[in-house]
Amino acid sequence: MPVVPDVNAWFWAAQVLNGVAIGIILFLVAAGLTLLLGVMGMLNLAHGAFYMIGAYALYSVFATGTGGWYGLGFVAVIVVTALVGAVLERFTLRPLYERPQGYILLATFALVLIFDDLVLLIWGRAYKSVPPPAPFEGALLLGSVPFPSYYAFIILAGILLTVALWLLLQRTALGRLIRALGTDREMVAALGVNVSRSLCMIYVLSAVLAGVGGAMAAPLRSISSGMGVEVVIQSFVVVVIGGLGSIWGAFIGALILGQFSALGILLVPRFAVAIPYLVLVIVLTWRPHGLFGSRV
Amino acid sequence: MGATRTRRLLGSALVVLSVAGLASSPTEAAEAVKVGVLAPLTGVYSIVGDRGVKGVELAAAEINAAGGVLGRPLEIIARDDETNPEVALRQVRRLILQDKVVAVVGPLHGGAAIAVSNETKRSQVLQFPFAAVEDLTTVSCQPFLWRITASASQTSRGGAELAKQLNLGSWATISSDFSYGRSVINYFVEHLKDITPSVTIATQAWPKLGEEDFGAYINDILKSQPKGLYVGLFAADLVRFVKQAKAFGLLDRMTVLFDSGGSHEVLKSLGNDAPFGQWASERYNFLASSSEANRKFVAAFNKKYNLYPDMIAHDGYASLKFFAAAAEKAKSVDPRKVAPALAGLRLETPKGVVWLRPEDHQTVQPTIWGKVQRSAQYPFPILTDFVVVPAERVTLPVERSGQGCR
Repeated sequence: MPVVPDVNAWFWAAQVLNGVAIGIILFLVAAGLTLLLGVMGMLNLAHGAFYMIGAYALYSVFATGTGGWYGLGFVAVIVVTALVGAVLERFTLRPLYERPQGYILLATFALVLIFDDLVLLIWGRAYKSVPPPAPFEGALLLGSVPFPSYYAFIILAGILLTVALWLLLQRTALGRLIRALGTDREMVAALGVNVSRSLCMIYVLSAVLAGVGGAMAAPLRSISSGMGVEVVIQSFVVVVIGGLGSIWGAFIGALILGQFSALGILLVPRFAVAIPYLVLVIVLTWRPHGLFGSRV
Repeated sequence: MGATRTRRLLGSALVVLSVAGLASSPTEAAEAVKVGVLAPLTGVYSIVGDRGVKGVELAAAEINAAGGVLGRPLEIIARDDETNPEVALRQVRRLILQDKVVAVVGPLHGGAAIAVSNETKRSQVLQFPFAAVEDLTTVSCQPFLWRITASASQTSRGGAELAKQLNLGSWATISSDFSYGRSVINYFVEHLKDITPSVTIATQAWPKLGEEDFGAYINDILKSQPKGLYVGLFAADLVRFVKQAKAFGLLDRMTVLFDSGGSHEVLKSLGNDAPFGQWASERYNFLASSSEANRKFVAAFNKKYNLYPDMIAHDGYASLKFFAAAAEKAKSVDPRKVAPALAGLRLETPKGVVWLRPEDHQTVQPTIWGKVQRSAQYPFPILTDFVVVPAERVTLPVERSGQGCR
């Protein structure tokens, strides 16, 4: 069959949407990371652990074989990542807030190693796999080019989540508090706000975002110990490109990176691995504080 | 009087001691022959490594029950190589210097197997690697390394023979962009072009090892519209690829051959997402042979561990059987005498009758391909409709192998 131009157009459209889906998942993980950086100045290496825990939690609900496992699974993902996040923040990170940054880095790195082994103990060493939820198992047709309906679901759900997150940060009391904490923590404390509890809530929010990202990606990826490492490295790239602490920056950064990954593979396959870092170098040379970063 | 009593006492003490000594000497076992196993025993690959150790231990139990090797029992010492060449090297030195092993089975990781091979060559200790990487029997061929496991080229040349039978005309390939991943595809394409000169290769995709999203590659393959796709990915990469290929509808649009897709762990992990109806290869499959040897092996393995043996369990088991047979033939466990006895040795393993080629130290063995199917009998997808490609068609010609041994 000869390749007619409109097939080509659909092909590139599918490729772009592909990149959007990758970008959306990256954004959910990066959003939590940038939140912690912006508000608490915390570089949380353990962020990938929540991505992994989210995927495993979804698997556990799937493995029970109950109908509607996908919906129930997300409830479980939110509950589990929130609980683990709260406990971690209270007992391992809070005692370190007054110490130099290096302590937090070391502690969160230790948590990465601990959680990678912990999931092996709890869930065993075999790879785990969950299918997409039943209504999104097949492929849609963009013209004549197939496109997974689950990717379409990720894009729509991701956009809804992004809007919800934006509303939360811009239009609610909690959002105002979070932004205020990022600007001047002492002032907020002086106004009578319980700062420790607020910081714990922010950590929990960030953990849940990573967990939801991991659970959304799980039907397309394999679930195994150490699965959070790669995505966290990419998320750091996204956060730096977007500007530390900027949610919008992370969103745009994630979409840019998603596009470069999806299209770069086709245009310059030999350099595909290096593309995220090339983008990083170019952005930092041009705008040292990232696309949307104002303060460092 | 006192002196006599003392002497008598001493005398009886001596008698008692010597009787005790006599009594103990028959029960004192002949000195054990020690064999090391190097495999990943922690981390993600430990589930595979663990089965390798189990295969070796089952063989040791059977050999010991039948009187051991030259009347001496075998003792197996398993060490964790952490899927890491440096750790493997440290562990093999420990096995050789401290435990005084005469042979090592493993490692599974290609780089680790090559690192260990340098050490076994220097220390003159036998090695039976689990790794399929071609170099071990080509440029890195050495007197003490003998491979019972099928080599990478045997599997993918077998894939090319199956591709010829399927007669699809145009093919695409996808495999991880590193030495092993590339060699799998290169042997497939080269052999396919040799035996079917009219074939066209529509596109070749090289995602990085550990790629998370194959979408762009899958799209590109769909666009080039090949009739068949040859997949060289393995382990977690393969699990991800199959799920994404299914989501894109790729599996409904072409015939797919999975070079290591028959791997027990991959099929088990995919469960209902497995590529049903497509072709997959496994170096050993417990359903592929109805021989007495295979039936006994599967039953014994299942009884002892409550598991089904996979390729690494089989290869570990067969490696130790080869060692024992060669030691009996050489009438010694000295590696310098066992190594020559391995050359040309022919043995029936659960997979079938295989033999070790003297020129490159590779077993000449057939390649097994089968169709992935659901099973009512087993709680995991299985292979059926086996196609067994004869050993002489899949094994690299002697003149292209064993360079290191010339």
